[in-house]
Amino acid sequence: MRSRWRAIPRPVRILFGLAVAVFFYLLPNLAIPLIPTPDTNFSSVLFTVAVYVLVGVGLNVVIGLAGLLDLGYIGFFAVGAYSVAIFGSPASPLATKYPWLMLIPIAIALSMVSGVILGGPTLRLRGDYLAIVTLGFGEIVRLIAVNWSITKGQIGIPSVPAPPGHWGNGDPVFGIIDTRPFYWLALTVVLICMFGVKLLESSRVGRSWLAIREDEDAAELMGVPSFKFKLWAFAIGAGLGGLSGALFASRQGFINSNSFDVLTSMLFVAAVVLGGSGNLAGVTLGAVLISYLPERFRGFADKRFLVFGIALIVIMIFRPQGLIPSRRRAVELADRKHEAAEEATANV
Amino acid sequence: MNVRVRRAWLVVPVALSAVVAMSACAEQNNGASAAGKCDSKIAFFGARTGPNANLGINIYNGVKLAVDQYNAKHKDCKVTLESKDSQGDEKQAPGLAQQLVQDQKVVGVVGPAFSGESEAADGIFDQGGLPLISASATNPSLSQKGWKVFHRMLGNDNAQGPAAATYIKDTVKAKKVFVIDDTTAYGKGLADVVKKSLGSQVVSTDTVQPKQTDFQATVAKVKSSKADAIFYGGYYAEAGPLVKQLRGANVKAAFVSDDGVKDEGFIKGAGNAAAEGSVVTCPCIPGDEAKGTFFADYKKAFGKEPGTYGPEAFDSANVFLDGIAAGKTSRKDMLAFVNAYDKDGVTKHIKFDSTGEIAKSEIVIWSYKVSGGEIVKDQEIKATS
Repeated sequence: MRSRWRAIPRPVRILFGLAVAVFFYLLPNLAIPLIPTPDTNFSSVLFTVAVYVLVGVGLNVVIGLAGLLDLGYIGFFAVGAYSVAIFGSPASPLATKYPWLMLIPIAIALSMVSGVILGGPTLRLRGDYLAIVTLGFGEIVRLIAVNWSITKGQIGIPSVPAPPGHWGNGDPVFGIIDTRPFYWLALTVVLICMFGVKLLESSRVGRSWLAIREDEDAAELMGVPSFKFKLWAFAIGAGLGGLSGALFASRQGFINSNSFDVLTSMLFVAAVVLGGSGNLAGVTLGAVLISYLPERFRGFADKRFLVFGIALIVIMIFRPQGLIPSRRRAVELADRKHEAAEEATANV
Repeated sequence: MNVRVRRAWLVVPVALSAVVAMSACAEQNNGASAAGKCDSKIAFFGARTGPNANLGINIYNGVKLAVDQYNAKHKDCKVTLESKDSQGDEKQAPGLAQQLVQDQKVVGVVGPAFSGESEAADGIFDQGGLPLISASATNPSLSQKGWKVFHRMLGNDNAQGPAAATYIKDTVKAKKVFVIDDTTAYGKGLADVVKKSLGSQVVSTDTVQPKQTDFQATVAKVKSSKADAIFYGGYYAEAGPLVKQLRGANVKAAFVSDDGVKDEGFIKGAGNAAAEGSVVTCPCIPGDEAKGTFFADYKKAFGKEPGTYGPEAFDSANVFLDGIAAGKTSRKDMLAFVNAYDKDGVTKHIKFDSTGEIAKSEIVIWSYKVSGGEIVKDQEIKATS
């Protein structure tokens, strides 16, 4: 399948990609049977899906490419969301008069800084230790959100600013009734970020990440400054997480500490692992599934998460490498299996 | 790959974009079609699943009873009850609210049930001009946001807080009170009012978190404060285990809490022995105090006595149903109808002021006591503000 896809001439592939993009832009306007969610506003769900995809793209840099298991990714998401809310909402004591377009870079910058602050000491750890420390970070951010007087815990921050702009009749473009502009905005951001990450992946930086992921010591010996690249991966991932948090807060209009729990953080990781770690198409699919399925199965009420959970288990049984495994990863794993087999025969 | 096959590939994206372009013209089916007279809907919005679902289910039942009674009387012109299960979750509320707003047949919403989700959803209802009556969200700030569609069937925390304080002072006769809240819009709001009303009698305060299950830190603080009464602002999911652990640590102080705790889930969480004697206040009336045949009707329909807010939800739904019976099938007409409503319900005389609050003279606060594993009515507390 994949080699066939590669055999198609490049301009056709680009055209096909464009057609797919156009399809996604038009999705909320198309009345395709069975796809829209029965209970929740469809474009609102699509927006959430787009935000989760962005989260997946960011987390893919950290987990999929650099191989750093980050369980506290929700922390960066929260930093981004709270940045927009705290500096933008008139209800906040720290409100600035900056327009929304200024708030977004601030949100990204703050989450990147928090990524570096967290990454500085912790990236010297590996494997399980890193996972535990990042898990703690996510909780720290949540507890700050709960207890700090400015973030107002459960009471939350209302009237988070939305992007600017008005229709001809004076209604805001990014109103709260029609979520489609929000969806289109998020989709555009997703496409841009995907393009950027794709470029990074095939650059020297990307190859260094892969080298670190596969064997950090070997990479270091070969002259890759692994700490520096790991920190970069962490910061870039954090920035993308912050951006998605900022979009989420703008659309929601109201955020409180409830939105940033550990469960959501686990869901983020589930998206990456489920879809296929290290592969953009894979994590996209994973993010779509974890955000779309629970809304689609809303009708099951109490059993909603059971259905969702079973769907996940079935997928993991039949596709242990994720739905769309990374090709490079698959080759590496096959190779490793091969080596293990050889070793086994050698030992006999 | 030969040239012909390559050409064939070119066709795919072109065809695809053509299909997409054509279907782009497909209309969204949520347009403001002229709502017919007999297909109006009213909606319930609140938790029917999730940790505090019991409160939402009581309200849903109240609304359902009202709609069923209406439909039995108007067989040729029935009203549909739409239900949105928000799980009491602020994250899910906006999407659900949008869906309701876009269905022009929905002319009234009973809910949202909790204050937090109201914060997230009511602005959307306001933009959509969809009138709502909450039968349970009691945070005072909700009526002060300039939302034209907001109405509330009961007294807010500014009425309940002082009443709870009065009860602690006059009936419990406590000298030292320990105030705990759960940091939610609802629990903290209420605890703050109680603190203000009690003044210097509050010896110490603490907060707990929603979904928390271990309250040993709080229990230790209560113990060392030697308080003779505890006020807890929050929901039953946390209040149950909290009381259990307090009693387990041999804290004898009277436990007074709020309407969010007035549910059998509280007794289940605390265990019969620990819950015994706990007091809750509520701006809701006991089911058997409701006028008319409500109590009997409810019991017949659902096989149990009406729970907290059941009567208030019944009244709220009936306001909308009266409007539909009077031919108000557009949201604008319905909003004007609700604003001008002036009639007796089963809980009180219903009349809203300009901010959507129930008229001050109609506010009632009751206290309830846990006795023999059940929450039974205690007394009506005269509202002091």
